[in-house]
Amino acid sequence: MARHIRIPFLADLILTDDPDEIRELANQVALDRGFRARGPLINRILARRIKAALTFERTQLPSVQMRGDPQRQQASDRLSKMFAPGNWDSELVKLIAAHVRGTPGRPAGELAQEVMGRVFDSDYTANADTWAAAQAIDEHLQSRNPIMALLRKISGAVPRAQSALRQAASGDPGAMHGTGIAVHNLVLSLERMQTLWANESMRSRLAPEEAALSVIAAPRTVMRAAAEHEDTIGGRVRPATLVALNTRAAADKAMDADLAFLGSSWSRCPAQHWVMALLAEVWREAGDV
Amino acid sequence: MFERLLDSLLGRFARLSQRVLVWHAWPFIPALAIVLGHRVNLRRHNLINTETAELGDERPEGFDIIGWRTADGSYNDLAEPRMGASGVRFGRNVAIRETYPPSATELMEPSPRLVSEKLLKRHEFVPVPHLNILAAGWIQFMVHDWLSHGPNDPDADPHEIPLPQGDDWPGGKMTARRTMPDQETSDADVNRPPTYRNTETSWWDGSQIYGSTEERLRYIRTANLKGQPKTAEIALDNGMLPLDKKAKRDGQELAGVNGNWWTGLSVLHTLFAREHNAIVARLRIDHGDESEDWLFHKARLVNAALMAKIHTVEWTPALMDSPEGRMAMRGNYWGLMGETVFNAFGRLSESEVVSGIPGSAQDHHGAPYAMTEEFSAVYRLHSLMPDQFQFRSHSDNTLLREVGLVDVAGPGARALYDEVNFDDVLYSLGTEHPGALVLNNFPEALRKLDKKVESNLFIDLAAVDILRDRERGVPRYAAFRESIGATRPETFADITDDQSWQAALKEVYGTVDKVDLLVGTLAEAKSKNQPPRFGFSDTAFRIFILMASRRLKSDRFFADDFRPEIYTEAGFRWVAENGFADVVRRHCPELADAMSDTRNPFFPWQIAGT
Repeated sequence: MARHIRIPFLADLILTDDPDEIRELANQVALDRGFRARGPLINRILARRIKAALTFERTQLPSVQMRGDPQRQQASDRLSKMFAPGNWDSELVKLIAAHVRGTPGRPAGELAQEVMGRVFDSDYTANADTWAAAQAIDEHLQSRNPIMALLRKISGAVPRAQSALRQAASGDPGAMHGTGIAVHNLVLSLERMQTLWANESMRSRLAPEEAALSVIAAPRTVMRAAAEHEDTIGGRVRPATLVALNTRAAADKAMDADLAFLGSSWSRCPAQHWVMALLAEVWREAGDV
Repeated sequence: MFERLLDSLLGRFARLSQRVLVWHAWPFIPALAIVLGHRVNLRRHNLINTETAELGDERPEGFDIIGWRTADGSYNDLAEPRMGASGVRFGRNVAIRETYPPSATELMEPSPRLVSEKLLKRHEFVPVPHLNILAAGWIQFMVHDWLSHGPNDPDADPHEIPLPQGDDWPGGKMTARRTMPDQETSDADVNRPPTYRNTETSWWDGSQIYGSTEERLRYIRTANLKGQPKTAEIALDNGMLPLDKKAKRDGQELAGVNGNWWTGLSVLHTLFAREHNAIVARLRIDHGDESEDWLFHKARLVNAALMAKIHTVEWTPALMDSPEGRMAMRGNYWGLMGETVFNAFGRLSESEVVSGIPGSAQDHHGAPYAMTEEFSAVYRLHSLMPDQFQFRSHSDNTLLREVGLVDVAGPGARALYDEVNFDDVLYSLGTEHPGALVLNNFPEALRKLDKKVESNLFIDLAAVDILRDRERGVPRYAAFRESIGATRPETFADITDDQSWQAALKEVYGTVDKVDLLVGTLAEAKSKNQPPRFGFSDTAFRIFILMASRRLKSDRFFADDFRPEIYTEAGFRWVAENGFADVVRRHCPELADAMSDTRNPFFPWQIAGT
């Protein structure tokens, strides 16, 4: 059941990890991605942080584009075409499968970044620096420690990381999002797959598609900001209310890929089928030794 | 807000505390807090919905859905009418991804028959001295209310269970039919583990007495007796259950659920059918102008609540006879304030912790209510059954008859009353002991159960118990414990302190990870994890504290609608003022003395003449 935390001047947040509530809230008209620094203190801090982390040198990533933004729709259509299942580098898939089997090699983060980056650019190359940059952004987004957040701001670590990823992705917002933000979900999925593979019993019982469904990791949280007053399943929202959809917890519990990618909402991930097919292919490849 | 904060603290405390000591090793207050904390964590992580499609909504015509329980359990939750109804899927208490069934090879590794022979076979009856056999009958009586996988699949190739070398199993081949698969799957189920459906209502609604369909309910009201009108009473034949004319075997007594029948079920069904009729008689005094249907359904509501109360505050505390166990279960019903305060002042708080679950707000804790496969698995309690029964006179304890389990099963339960009267049967079950839930205590009669003697068809129920958990994707013992937030055993010594059991487990399984859930829970009986004076394992207890609360908390008739306006004033008081001993005394007054010195009616009754 959704929790509504409303403390005057301090916070106005709705949090939920209930699958049905997430499906409903994800399509609520009043909830969008207008992360403006307004309302109670914590809302301002969070909105500012989300917007800053997901805007690479004044280029907004797809994950902060508003529902009605025509560029978002065009980009989504373009990405859906690019992320056709099978559009991946087979040699990279073999390396990822080796990683799943526990064979020492390149870190999963680099491999995941590279396989995603090559959907956009066949020459995309990930390295320790690009992966470190992606991790820096993720840490900043997930951090609940205001001191660490301040230190990162002072040191300029996040803009540097954004710049590195932008350069590697040749400025393509979709590629920047894939290799800097979404890549973490793929890496977690691969880590889960590695654990699954290590379990002989599960290895013998799961078909590739079943394994993919078993390991899929959704984003930890998908954020929405209320644009107007409205009653929602999580409580009444007003402009500046932030809604945190804990999609990872919900999708894990329901084992629901559609929920993991918010596939039935306007903000569906265009890479859903590609990711599921890739994971199945990795499992298949891991077993083909 | 405060309750959420408290829950969060309790949950964290429970997680941290078990790194130091298991919950029952702590002093009383922290132990109780840890149990509550485990329940918080289990509610959060271990209630899993397996439905992938919207449930239907067929409103019964001319039926008071607000004030009566429907036959099929629908409309308990008014917002999701099919929740908990018969035919709905079993849920899960472990993550769905852990419930894929094993490969064909792994399914038989090690052979369930080998497990049965080496680890479950009863060499010598191990009793529980502080319980009576009614405790064994009661739990089966309850399970028949909550769940059934229905008949097995007659069309699919049966499982063939490998026989160990030298096994003299009749015919040299052991087979078991597969569990009936879910017939209503959709594209949304592709690549997900198989699901199964509960043929009974999942609610605590007395469906073992009343059935889970309108047709069955009508049948138990009239018993198809010629000229029998459909009155508010359950049809009885001189105070005894009538015979089921539709049963496969002649002489079988009639009940809502009358499969796997034996004398323990027969006496409990008879008592609570009589209790239904007694409730009807009481309600007629205040509500003589109401229809027969109204009286029937109100009596059912009261009877079901009385059984739920008995289970919560009498049966379960008898099996969990430690201060913490008693408090946990009685607290479920009356809260930390206790029975005396509750009866004097009613609910003092909205909180279920303070004033108990009945009458608190309904809450499904994030997953639609349903019985679960894991709950079904930890309720495999066949070892409670003795192989031999002695029936004695309640007046002087004279031995009247000594028979085997098979002799008092099926139609044998009714035939027994020709030789031993009902009161004497009940007295005997109240004075003898059930078997302990330990290794090597599975009744021999059930390990070679005659299914169709003319075809030389037997089943080994111990082997089938093992097979069913594996087939339905219930994780094995070590993985199961990890999934429910308990410590995962790494060695056989982590499962049991008994060295001979450790050796036997190693011989059969080789590695700890392969130990079956049922075997692990039975082996726990001799370990540091076993709570003192508990009749079952810590592992099973974790599921019980989750599901026992949920059966009350999710059910509208125990939550928001547990009130006199729905139950009637007299009905509400009936539940508050009665327990199992009252039911026995009302219908078998001559047994009152036998129970007079017993703190709990599921403890052994007084032997006549002593």
